[in-house]
Amino acid sequence: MDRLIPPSELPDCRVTREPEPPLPDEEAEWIRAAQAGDRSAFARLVERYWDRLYRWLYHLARDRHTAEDLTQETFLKALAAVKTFRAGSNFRAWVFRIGHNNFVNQKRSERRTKHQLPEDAVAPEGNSAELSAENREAVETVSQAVSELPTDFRAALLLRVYEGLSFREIAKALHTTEETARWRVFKARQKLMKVLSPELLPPGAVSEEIKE
Amino acid sequence: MDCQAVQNLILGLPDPRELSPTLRAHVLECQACSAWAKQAARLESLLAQLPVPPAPSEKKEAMLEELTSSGPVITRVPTVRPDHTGVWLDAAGRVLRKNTAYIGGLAAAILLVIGIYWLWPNKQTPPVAEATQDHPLLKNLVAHDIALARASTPAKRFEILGGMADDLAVETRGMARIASADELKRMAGWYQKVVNEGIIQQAKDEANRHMMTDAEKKNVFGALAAKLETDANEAERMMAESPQEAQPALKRMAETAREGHKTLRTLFASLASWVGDQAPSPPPAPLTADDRIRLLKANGQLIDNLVNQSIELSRAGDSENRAIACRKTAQLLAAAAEVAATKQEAERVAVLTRLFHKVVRDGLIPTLGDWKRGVPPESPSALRLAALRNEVPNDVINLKSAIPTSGAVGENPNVRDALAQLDELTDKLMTKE
Repeated sequence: MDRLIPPSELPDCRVTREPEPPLPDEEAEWIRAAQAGDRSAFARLVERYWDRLYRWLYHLARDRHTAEDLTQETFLKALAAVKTFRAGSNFRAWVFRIGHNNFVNQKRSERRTKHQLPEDAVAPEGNSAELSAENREAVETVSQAVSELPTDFRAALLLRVYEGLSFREIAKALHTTEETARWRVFKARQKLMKVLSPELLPPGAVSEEIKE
Repeated sequence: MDCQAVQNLILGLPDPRELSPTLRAHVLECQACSAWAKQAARLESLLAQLPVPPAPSEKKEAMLEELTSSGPVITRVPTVRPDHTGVWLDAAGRVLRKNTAYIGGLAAAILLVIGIYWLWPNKQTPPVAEATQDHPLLKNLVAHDIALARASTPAKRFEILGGMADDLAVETRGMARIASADELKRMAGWYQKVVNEGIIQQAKDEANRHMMTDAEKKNVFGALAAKLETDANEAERMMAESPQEAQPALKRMAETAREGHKTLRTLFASLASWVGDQAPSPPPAPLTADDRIRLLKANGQLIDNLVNQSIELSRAGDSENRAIACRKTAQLLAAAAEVAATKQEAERVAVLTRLFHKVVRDGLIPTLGDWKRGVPPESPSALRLAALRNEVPNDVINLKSAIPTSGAVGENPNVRDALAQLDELTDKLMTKE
């Protein structure tokens, strides 16, 4: 039976294990300090968000070199602009928005084919035996389908899934309206459901994933 | 609860694995939706497990190192110094180096344009006007559809159908000397559909339902019968003046009108007098013959669909069904606009987008309001209304997304105006009542 893989059992190809969410006061304190010029405080923010931003940008750009460059560029710009960040607003959405802007700018200046696969994509079967063959295949299929989504849909969907951002926060990150953000997530899921429905529920499988 | 609505609601949740009590109750009872919910939950779980390769170099570590070592506070992004070995400058430098050719080429092009402008300051090429795409029949049909969506009584719906038949009759007669046999046959078919399926069939239904008073029937059907008689006479007159290829279509129109007139008289023979209310027909649009043919060809399929949709609207018995039918009309127009956008037909995109806006603003939104006022909260109908209200903004956003914001279409001022109107719609739809 397929099960949700808990973070502690994720194979090594995953960039990060999800850190404990920061206490809101703690992060606010780091931001205040960074705005006052404390570089080590900004370093904590980088540590907290770098891997998450890189993961998201990787799925947008579908290339790890580009994703890394974009992540670096994002934090450079964030550092330069940290004094303009409005205390009390969502720092994560702010950083992701800068990242998204960088991605859009980069896309405009470079041509990529629509279905270019990253040269160094890591297939699940290259990793540990914890993943069942069935789950590996399902993840691979989903991964391919996600890479073929329109970029806007992909961006919104993964902010929702990975970061758990609300639709309002997704809208801020992507510089659009909340309704558009909600619609993009909806459309992304709808497209994936259409493409993947034969793979999503193996015959006879019983899913326990609907939460009580 | 409608299964399609439930499935859409599940996909629109922040997390499809967390269902509301209402959705859960339906899912537990419905096998299809239960399977759907399981698939959606599994998809959500699989998405969280997508693999990501590690970053190729250690830029994160390098940045952290730089930040935590002592030094001045950085308050701006460093400028490019090609030989600098600092980690932070690599990215900026690479971007510039990669784009040097483009930047150089762009600068040269700008200089060339400026040079040309200086040499020939008075040379102005007027923009080529795109041929109009504004077919009057299209606009009239959309206006009729909006009116049908808002029509709350059978009497009003019959009047509107009568107006629609009028427009089609006038247009067909107007094209009789210039259009081909096939085009005229198509137009006569539209007229026949509106008369037979719209007016006559529903008049027969009315004869059994008795939703109208005798006074209403006298006024409405009297006027309709008179119109049909006029249409028949006019079509027969045109036959004498039109070329051979127009004969079959005009004959078909005349026969339809005569038959319709006879049926109405028979159905309501007990009503003593007939009011010969002949509303003036709208004058034909001031278009050349070529324009009219061209526009007919361009809009034929859309008009086909709109006529069908009008019949459906006229049959919709309550505001829920009118709202659903009205939305379909809007979606037809949106689809046509999207096709026009792919063909780079900017003016057509603008016209169709404006028509879409009109249908939603003047037809659909008020009809949704009527529907809402008529249903108890938490009822199945209220849930269907909520689901439809959630979906309608998608139609607007879909259309906006399909229209490019640059190029010949995106830079057209009429397209931009039309897109601005769509923003107003999104606000209206999001207003919580």
